[in-house]
Amino acid sequence: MLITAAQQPPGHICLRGVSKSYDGETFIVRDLDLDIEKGEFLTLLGPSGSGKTTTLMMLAGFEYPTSGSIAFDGQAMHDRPPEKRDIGMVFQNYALFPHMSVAENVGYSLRVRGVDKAERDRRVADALRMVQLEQFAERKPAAMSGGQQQRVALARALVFEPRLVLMDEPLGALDKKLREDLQLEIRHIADKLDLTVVYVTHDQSEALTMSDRIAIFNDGKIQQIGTARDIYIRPANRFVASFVGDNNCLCAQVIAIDGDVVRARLPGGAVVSARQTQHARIGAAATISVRPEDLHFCGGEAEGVVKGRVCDVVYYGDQLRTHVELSDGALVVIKSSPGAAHAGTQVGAPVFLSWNAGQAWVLDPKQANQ
Amino acid sequence: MRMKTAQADKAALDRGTVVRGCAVGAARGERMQAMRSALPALPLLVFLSCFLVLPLIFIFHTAISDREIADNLPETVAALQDWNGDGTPPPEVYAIFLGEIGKANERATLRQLGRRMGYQLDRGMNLIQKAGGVARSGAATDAAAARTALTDIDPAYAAPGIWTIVKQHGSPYSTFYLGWAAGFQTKLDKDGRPSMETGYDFRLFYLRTILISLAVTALTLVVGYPLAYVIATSRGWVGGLMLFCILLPFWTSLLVRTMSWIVVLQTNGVLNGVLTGIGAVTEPVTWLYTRTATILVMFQIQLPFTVLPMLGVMRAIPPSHVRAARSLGAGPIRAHFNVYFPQAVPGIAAGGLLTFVLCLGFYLTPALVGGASDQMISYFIARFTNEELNWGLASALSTLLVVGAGVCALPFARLISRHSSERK
Repeated sequence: MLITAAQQPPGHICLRGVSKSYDGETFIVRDLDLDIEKGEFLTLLGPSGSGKTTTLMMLAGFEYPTSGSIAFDGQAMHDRPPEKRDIGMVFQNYALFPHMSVAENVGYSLRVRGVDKAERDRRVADALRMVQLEQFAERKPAAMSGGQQQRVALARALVFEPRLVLMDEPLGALDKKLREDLQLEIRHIADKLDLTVVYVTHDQSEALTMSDRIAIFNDGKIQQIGTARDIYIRPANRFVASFVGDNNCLCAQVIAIDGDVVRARLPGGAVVSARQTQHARIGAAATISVRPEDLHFCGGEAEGVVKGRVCDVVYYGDQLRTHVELSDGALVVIKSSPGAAHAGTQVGAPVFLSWNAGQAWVLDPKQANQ
Repeated sequence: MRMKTAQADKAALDRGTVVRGCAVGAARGERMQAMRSALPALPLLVFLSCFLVLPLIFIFHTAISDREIADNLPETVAALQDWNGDGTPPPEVYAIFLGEIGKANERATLRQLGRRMGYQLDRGMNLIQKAGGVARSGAATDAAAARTALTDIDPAYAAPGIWTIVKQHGSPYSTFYLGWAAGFQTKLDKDGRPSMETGYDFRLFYLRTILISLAVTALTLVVGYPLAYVIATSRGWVGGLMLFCILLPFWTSLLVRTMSWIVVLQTNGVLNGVLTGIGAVTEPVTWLYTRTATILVMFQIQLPFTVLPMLGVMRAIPPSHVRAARSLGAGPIRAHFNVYFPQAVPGIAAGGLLTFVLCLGFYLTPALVGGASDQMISYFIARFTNEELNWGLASALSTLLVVGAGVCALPFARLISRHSSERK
């Protein structure tokens, strides 16, 4: 493949201003800009109806953008039919052809491309070996388990060395244990073959464990894009904070900004601290976000301590979740290990909570990017 | 096997009537359970056995029944056993024959016997009636006189033809009607040679029936496949509207639909009006009472029967399969024929088979819009049942039709079941 004077490194995929609407009024995807680097594992994460699958379908060529452009290596791609895009795709329910054997399924792309029989057999065998299914070549898909079928689908999507691999909730139908095994296996194969992968899921733990970068979708827009760590620790807005991991959001009013620490007053009167972000302005309302695992119980009233009353204690085996109603009526959840101090506090008992200023964030009080 | 026993045990336990560990009791319990669970289907079973199985058995029985000679001429048949078929039988046979004809005359079964002889022998009816006349006159008193009287009244009695037939059909069951229906030469002349009279050519009628059915089946498949595909894959109102249009004829009686086709197809009908109106033809075209009309009307009637089974199968094909093929590099047509079509085959086979088998039995439509000399086999079955009162032949024709349709259906049915077991 010859790449001439490309400003971008080879394998770069670029979406600019992509919108999709069926009726011209409601947009499923709105004005989307996205760059995908060669060898990157990008996950599109979001609730159903957030536009992540539509974005994937536009990349694959099954849907065409209402406006905007999609380019691979600088070549416009958005008006090409799917068979001319050189994209491997793994579907939610595998979409294996039931009337073909495993080997025929995997070799289909090569047959269509006119690869001769010997070469085809060799590459099919390689692909099946990669997913550890070489002994199942002659089976029909219906005679295999869900996990095996998913591996066949993976081998089929990779055997023709596509420049981009799309995966549409490929593990959704599998049980938890198998799903975790396959997550690692897919990640391993992607690394080994230096694949560019766009992976759609609504399962946040899957996104966090597999991805180089995660794009959080809601309402047809990307709310935040970044590494798993970025997104978990520094959520851009309330939507991301509550969608990825559990999160406590407290409404407050900013009363002081002291270096990179913001001091804010909760409606109940307590003054708390959090890290400065661009959203904090003195006198303005702000949302303070604290992860349940960053909240802890403390002995009594002091500066930065919030008072509340236990309303529920739920035992999870490795952790205990205490639901606390603050004096202003806000509800928060505290995760602690079952053996920790104050764990097992009676329902109805008063408690005091605090957190390190470095582990709380000031967020835009608006729900999400609109 | 062990599981089965366990289930039976459980069933027995539930009812608390069978001692545990008793295998026979458990098996019976299981049978009882199975019977009880089939109980709601009992009215249907009763209905089916009364109105499907019993009539079928009756038809098969009628097709192989051949009682007239056995009932009316048993002693003649016995007496003919020693005759070797050359020349004429000994005079005693004539006497016995004449005696039995006399008895048949008294029982008023002579006409039946005459008709049966007529099926197989030139002027058979006439011969038996003449013998009846001789028997009534009572002239023949001994064997020689009986022989003279019969050969005098008709020389055919001096030929081996009639005696061969009587000798061969002395059993109450024979394959005579089936052979006749299958188009074998069955009619003899007075000398026992194949008759010059040409009867119905049933092989031609069967062939015609099969050809018309195949044409209609092919037409419904060619038109129905794209239609079913569009309905199965369309979203929104388009598919619903098309399905409604296909189902619409189901709510109109077959007779009304066929009659309205007559209005459309007749010489001064709608179709010719349109054709002459747009200047496509100058003279009205003869549509009605042609094979074209038969095929056209049958096609319209059968289209839903072909489309609905196809639709059922096509709706179960996930759209992701064609998408997967497209993403793997196949163009839309190639993806369709590599991936979609093979999965639709059971539906195509089921729809085509249903239409073909139903077409084989079409009666009303060809009778009303088809040519008089271009009738299908059902027309002849009805004709032999209602007009010629030859129930044996009508039953034999029906039997061949049912068996033939069954033989056609079997490999297709196996194909369909194999495909459906392949799919999960």
